[in-house]
Amino acid sequence: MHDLLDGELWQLTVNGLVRGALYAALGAGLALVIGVTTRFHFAYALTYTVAPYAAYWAMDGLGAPFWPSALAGLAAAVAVSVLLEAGVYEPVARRAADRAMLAVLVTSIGVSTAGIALLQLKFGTGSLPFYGPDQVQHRLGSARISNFDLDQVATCLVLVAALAAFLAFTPVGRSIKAVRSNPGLAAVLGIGVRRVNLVCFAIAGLISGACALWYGLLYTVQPTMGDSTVIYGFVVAFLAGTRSSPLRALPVGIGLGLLEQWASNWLPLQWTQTAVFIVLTAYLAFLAVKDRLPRPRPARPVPLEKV
Amino acid sequence: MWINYLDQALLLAALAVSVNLLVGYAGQVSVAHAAFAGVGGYAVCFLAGLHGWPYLASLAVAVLVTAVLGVLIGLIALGLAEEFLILMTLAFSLGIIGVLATFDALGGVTGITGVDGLRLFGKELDTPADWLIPSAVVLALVFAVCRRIGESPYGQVLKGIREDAVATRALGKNTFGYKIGIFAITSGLTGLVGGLYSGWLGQATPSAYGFPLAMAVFAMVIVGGNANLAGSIAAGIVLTMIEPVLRQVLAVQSTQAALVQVVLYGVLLLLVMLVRPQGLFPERARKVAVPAPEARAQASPRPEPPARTPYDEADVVLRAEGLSKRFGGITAAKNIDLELRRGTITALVGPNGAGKTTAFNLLTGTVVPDTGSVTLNGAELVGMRPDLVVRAGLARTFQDVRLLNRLTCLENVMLAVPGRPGERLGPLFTPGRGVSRADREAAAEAMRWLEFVGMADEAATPADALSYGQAKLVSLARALATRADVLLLDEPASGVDAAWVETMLAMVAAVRDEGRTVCLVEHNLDVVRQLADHTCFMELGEITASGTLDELTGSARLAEAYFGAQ
Amino acid sequence: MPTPRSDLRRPRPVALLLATLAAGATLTACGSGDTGVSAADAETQAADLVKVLRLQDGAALGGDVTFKLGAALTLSGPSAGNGQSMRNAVELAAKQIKAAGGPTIKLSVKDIKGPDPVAAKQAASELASEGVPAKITSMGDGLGAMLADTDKSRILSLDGVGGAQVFTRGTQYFYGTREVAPSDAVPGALEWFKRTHPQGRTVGLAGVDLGAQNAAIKADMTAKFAAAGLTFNGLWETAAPASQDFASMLAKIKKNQPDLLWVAFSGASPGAFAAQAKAAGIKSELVGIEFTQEAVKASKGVLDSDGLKFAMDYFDASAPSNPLAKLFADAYKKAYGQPADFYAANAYEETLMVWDLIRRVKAAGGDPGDSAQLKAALEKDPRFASVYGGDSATVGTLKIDLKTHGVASRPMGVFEYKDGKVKPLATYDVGGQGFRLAG
Repeated sequence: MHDLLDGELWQLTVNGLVRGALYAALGAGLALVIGVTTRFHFAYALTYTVAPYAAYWAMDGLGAPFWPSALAGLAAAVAVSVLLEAGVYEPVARRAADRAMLAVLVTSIGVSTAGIALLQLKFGTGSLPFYGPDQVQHRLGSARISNFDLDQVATCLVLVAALAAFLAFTPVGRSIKAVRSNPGLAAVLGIGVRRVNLVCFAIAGLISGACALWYGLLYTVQPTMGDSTVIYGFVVAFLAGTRSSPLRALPVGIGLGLLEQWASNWLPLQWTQTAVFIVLTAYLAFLAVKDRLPRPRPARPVPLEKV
Repeated sequence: MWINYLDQALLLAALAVSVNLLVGYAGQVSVAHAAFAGVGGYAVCFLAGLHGWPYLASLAVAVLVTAVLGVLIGLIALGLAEEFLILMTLAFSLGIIGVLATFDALGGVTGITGVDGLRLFGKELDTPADWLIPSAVVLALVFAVCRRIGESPYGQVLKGIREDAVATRALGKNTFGYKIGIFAITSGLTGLVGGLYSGWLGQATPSAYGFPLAMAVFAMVIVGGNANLAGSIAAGIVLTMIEPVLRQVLAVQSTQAALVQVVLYGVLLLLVMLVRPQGLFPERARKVAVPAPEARAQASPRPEPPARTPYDEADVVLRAEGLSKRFGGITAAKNIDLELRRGTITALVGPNGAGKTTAFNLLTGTVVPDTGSVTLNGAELVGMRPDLVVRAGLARTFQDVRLLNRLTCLENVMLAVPGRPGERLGPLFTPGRGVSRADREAAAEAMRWLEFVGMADEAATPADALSYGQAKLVSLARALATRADVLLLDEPASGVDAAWVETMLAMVAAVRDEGRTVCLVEHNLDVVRQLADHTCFMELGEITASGTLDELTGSARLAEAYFGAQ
Repeated sequence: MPTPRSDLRRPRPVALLLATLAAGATLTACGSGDTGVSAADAETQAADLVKVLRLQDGAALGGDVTFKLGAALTLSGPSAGNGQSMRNAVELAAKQIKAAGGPTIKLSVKDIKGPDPVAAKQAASELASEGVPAKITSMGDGLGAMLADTDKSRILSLDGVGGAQVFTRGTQYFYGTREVAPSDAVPGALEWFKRTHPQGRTVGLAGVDLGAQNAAIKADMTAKFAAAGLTFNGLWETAAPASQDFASMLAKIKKNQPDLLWVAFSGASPGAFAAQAKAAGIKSELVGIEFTQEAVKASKGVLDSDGLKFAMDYFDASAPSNPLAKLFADAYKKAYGQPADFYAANAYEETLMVWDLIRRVKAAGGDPGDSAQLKAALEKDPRFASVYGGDSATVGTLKIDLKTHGVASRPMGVFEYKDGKVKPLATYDVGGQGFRLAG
C-alpha cells in the first residue's frame, strides 16, 4: 500500500500513527482523571516530565541499569500524581467548594510550573543525556521506524486496552465508573470517593510516565517537554469524551496525530499546531451549535394518530 | 524600575477586572481573553507602529476587532458546558496566537517590535512615567464600566446566568443575548487593555500574550475574589509585584534566583487557595434598601377577592392544541390539547413519567414541539424564544425550585420584575438617575411579592440558606413578579414540610383570587382537590381524561391506572 | 454551599508558609555564590592579566572608578545555559579587573528569560532607570525587543551571542562582538564544502524561525550559496526556537535532501536534530552554526559517535589560541569546574572591552560613567584584546566594523566535534577571507 503514497506522506503517516498512539494513551489517562475527579489536571505535564528525570537520576546518580531506572521513573510519576491529588487538588477543591474547577485549574498550573522549576534547580535547564537500549531502525517501505517507535506504540496500546479492561472487569474499576457517573450516589453506596480519585491519579501518573519515558528515548528529555504534550492530552480527552471508554481515545488520538503530521505535508511547519487548534475550535463550535441547527423537517407537520 | 512595574500592574489589573466581569459575574470561563488582548496589541502595533495611524484610532480598531471576536466566541460558547468552554477558549486562543505568529506582515514568531513614539492627545508616551497616566485611566475606565455593569440589574442577570441559566431564562431574560453581549463587552475591553499593553511594551509578540498571561490573569481573578472587581485590582497589583519583590529579596548573587522565584510563586498561589479560597475579597451581596414594614403593608398588592366566575364561564386564556414531541423513538407528548381559563386553577395529574413536566416544557417553549400550537390570549407561542414566552405572560416554576443560590431572596425576585431599564446597556450608560430610580421601584415591587408570600423577613438571606419550603415560596414570589398572566406551577407542595403545605395552598389560592390563571402539576390529590377547578389526567404523554377531580376519581379505569395506587 | 469556616485549620497553612519560605531561603543559599573565583586566585590571575594585556601601573587602570555594568542575559527558559555561562564569565572578569587595580564593577544582571519580550522590556527599562552606561547583552538585544530602549537610554551594548544581526542595524549604541551567525561564516564553510565534496551541488537549510527576520536571512544566505556556485534546492524549513522534536521537519527534508544541509539551530537543538536526522536516514552533510555541550547531551551519544560539523567563531577552551585565552580558559575551569564555552568567552572579552574603554576615557580625563564618551572612545579606535586569534605570544584582536557595528574580522572556521573533542577542518575570517584547510 505504501507504493501508492509518496515517500514523505508515507513517512508522515507512520509518524502520525506513532505520535497518535502517544496522544491516545495520554488522552485516555487524562480523561479518566477529568471524568472521575473533575480536576483540570494541568500538572499532568509535571508527572510526565518527572518520569524521565527520575529515571535519569537513578541511572546517572545511583548507577542503576536502564530498566530498573525506568521503573523508578514510573514509580516517581505515580507518586507525584497521587501526591498532587492528596496534597493539592483535594484540599484546594474542598476549600473552594463550588468554584473548585477554576481553583484547581489555576493551582494546578502554578504547582506544575513550580515543580518543573524544582527539577531545573536540581538537574539544570538543558536537556538530559537520557538513553538506554540501542536504537535500531526498521524499514517500512520508504519509511523508517525505530524499535523505540514500535515499543512506544505497543506500550500505549497495551496501556489503553488494560485501562479499559481494568474499568470493565475489576471491582475497583467498577467503583471508578460508579463515581464517574454519580459521585454523590457512589458515596452513598459506600464507595470511597477519595480512594477512587487516588487510584485514578495513580493510573494517570503511570500512563504519563510510560509515555514520557518512550518520548524521552525517542527525542529529548528537557524541562519543557510536557508543555505542549499536556495540551494534546486535553484535546484527546475531551474529544474522546471524559466519561466514555478509554478505547475511544485511540481513534481520536491517532486521528490527531495523523492530522498534525499530514498538515505539515501541505502547510508550512509553523502552521501545523495552529491547524490542530483551529480544527478543534471548529469541532467544538459544531458541538455547541449542533442542537440548534435547523433540522430538515417535513413541510407539513404530520399529526400523530391516536393509538 | 518600580514605575515600569506599576504600569504593568495597572494594565494587568485592568485585564483581570474585565475577565472577572466575565468569569466572576457571568460564570463564563474564558482562557481566550489574553489572546484577545494580543489581538488588540497587534492591531495597535500594526496600525500605529507600522502604518503610522494615530494611536487613538488604532485603539478604536483594537476594541472593535476584539469585540467582534468576542461575539464569535460568545456564539460558540452558548451551548458548551464549563469544561468544554475552558477547552474551547484554550484552543481558540492558541489558534489566534498561532495565526498571529505565522503572518510575516505581523512579524511571525518574533512579532512586531520596536514600536516607539506613540502619542496620545498630543503627548508623546516615552518613559515609563509617561505611561502611568494612560494606564491608570484605562484601569479606571475598565473598572467603571465593569462595575457599572456588574452592580446593575444587568449584572444581576449575569449572576443569574452563572447560577442557573435555565431558571434565569424562565424569568424572561434573553440569556443568549446576555452571554454574547458580555463576551463582546469584555473582549472589547481586553482589546483596549491589550492596545495599551503593547504600546507600553513597544511590541506585540506571540509569547507576550500566550498561555502564561492567560493564567496570570486567572490567578489574579481567583486570588482577588470572583465577582469582586476591587479584589481583582488588588490581586493584579500584588501578583505583578511579587516578581520584582522576590527578585529584590533574592538579589543575592544567586545563579538560580529565577527558578527559586517560580517555585515560590507556585507555593504562594497554593497557600492562598488553601487559606483563603474565596479570594482576598469575597463577593458581596448587593445592598438594596428594604422598604420599611409599614410602607410594605400599605403597598401589599393582595386585592379583595373578586366574585369568582364559574369555571365553565371563564374565558380561555391559554389554548394548546395537538402538541406532540418525540425524543428519538420515545413519545414524550402526544396530541396534547389543553385549555386554561382565566382566574381558575387547572391541575395536571398522572403517574410518574406521564409527561406532565414535558407538557410544561412544551408550553413554555423550553422544548419545541414537533407539531401543534399554543396560543396565549390568541397569540401563537410555538416558535417563540422561551424568554419571550415569559414576557408574553406565561411563567413557570420548577419542580426542583432552581433559585439562584448565591443571590439573596430579594435579588431573586427582583430579577423577575420585567422591564427594568438597568438590564439594557443603553440606559445603563446614559447619565441620569433613571436606572437607580427604576431599580428602587423594582426592589419595592419585589418586596411586595416577598411580603405576599410571607417571606419579607428573609429578603436579605442568600437563597441557598433557605429551607426547602421557604425556597418554594420565594420561587412562587419570583414567578408572580414576572407579572405573567398564566403561571405553571410544577409540584408547588411536594417535598414541603407539612407545616408549609397549608401556607403554600393558601398562596396558590390567593394567586388565583388575584385574577391570574394557574396550571399546576401535583401528586398530592388532597392538594388538587382543595385547589383545582379543573383536572386533566395524563398518561404516556397524553391527556386521556379531564373534568373535576371527583369525576376522574369516579372512573374505574383511571382509579385503577393511577388513583388506585394512592 | 458556603464554605464552613474552621479556625482549627488556620495554624497549619501558616506553618506551611513558614516552612516554604525557609525552604526557599535554603534553595537560594545553595544557589548563591559559593562557586566562582576565590580572592587568592583572582589576585594571581589579575597579575597575569596585567602582564598579558601589557598594562601600565597606576591611575590609568581606573582603580578609583565604580562602574555600573548591566547584563541582560537569558537566565531562565530554554537558553538558560547560555546566560549562566555569560554571567559566570562576567563575574570572573569583574573580580580579576578589580584585583588588577581596575575599577570596581557593580554588576546588575537582568534575566530576559528565553528571550521573553516582556522580560526583555522590563530589563531594558530597569537598566535605564539604574543608569548603567554599558551592558553585556545577548540574543540581538532580546531578539530586537530591547533595541529601541538601548538607543533611547544610550546604553553601550555589547552582544556576543547574536552578533550584529540585520535587524540590529541602525541601533547606535548596539555592537555585536562576534560573527553574525551564520551569515559571516557561510562563505568559508561553502568553500570548505566545495573542496571536500567535489560532487556536492545543492544546499538547503533547516533552522530557527526568526519571524520577520526570516526573509532577510534567507535572501542573504541564498545569495551566498549562489556566489559560491552552489544551488539552493528550495529546502528552507523553520521551527520554533528551542524545539527539539523534528519528526515532521525531517519527513520534509527527506523528500528534498540537499548535499549540504545547514542546521541553523542553537543550544541543545543541533544535537537533537542530528540524532533524529540520523535515525531518519538523512544522508546530507550537516553543518551547524554553533556547538555547545548542551547539544552533546541532547544527541544521546550521536554527536560522539557520528560527529557534528559546525561553522562558527568557535572558542576551544582545550586549545586556547593566545595567552589571554589561556588565562581565561584556565581561570574559568578553576572557578566553575567546567570548560568555558563560546558564550562565556565572548562575555569575558566584552567585559575586558568595557574596562579598556573605561581606561581610555579616564586617560583622556573624561567621565567613564558617560556612555557617549565610552562610545566615542570605541569609535576612535575600535580594536580590543580578544581571546580569539593571536598566537602563543600575542593576544588576539577584536576589531569592530563601525559601519555594520559587527566585527570587522574574526577568526572562525569549520570544526568537527567527535568523541569528546573538537578539531578544526578549515579556518578563515569573515566572508571566507584567508581560507585555509586545516592540516
